[in-house]
Amino acid sequence: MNKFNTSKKTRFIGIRNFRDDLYRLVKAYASLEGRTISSIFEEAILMWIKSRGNPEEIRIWAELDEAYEGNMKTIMQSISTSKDREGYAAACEGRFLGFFNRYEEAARAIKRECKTHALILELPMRGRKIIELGLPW
Amino acid sequence: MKTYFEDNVKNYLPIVRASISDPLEERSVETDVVIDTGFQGGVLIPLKTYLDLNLDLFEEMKAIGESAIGGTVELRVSKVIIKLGNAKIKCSAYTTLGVKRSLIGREVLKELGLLYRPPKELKLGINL
Repeated sequence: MNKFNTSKKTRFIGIRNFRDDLYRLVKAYASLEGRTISSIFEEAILMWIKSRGNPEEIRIWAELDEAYEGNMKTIMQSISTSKDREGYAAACEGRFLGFFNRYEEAARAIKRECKTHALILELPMRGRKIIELGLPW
Repeated sequence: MKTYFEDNVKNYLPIVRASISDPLEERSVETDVVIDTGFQGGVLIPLKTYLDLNLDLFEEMKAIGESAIGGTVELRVSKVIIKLGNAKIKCSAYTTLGVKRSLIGREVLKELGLLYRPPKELKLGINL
């Protein structure tokens, strides 16, 4: 049981090619301190995130990413049977909102029905755009 | 259209006052943006501004941002409406982690036209 974080949802992860000597050290410290190995990794990762500037911004970004992936999956499932379709497809909160002829119709439907992250995709889908960035920000 | 040069130490950084709105024009923010001909997109804004405008409600497929030194970053994308003086332009807004200043890029500048003659003249909208 992870005593550092008992309320958050957890998941199983496996790590390939982790240094054996480091793993043995972590295991020894965990045993000495009566902690789980995952709680030590979690503490180390939280420290690493804090060292990377604005942790709140990163947390928000990660939440947006999760919602984006869910909405992308929903739209991909919904358009898999209608590949020749043109216009726009929209989804929010993992729900498919429908096909729209105009961007503004999709935006208005989202405004009516969604409170959090939503995705509008132009059809037929193209790959990701590459954008030249300017000044270092 | 309010434009000015920020200072001569930065070799006359060109700035313009802009109002950026969500695609339905229900929320807007006024901000000073740097005119950047090296940026291909419409506007690049900090994540906070992106969220203040609720642009996460109108997100499109992510894009890849390529920096001058060849590195890449992931960009979130949404449509916005940008007002500069009397000009109103629909364009794409981008954001990524760590953006501190807003930029307007060539997607907007190609519509407006730009005259950059430091230290005296900075005009946007010469195409209108």
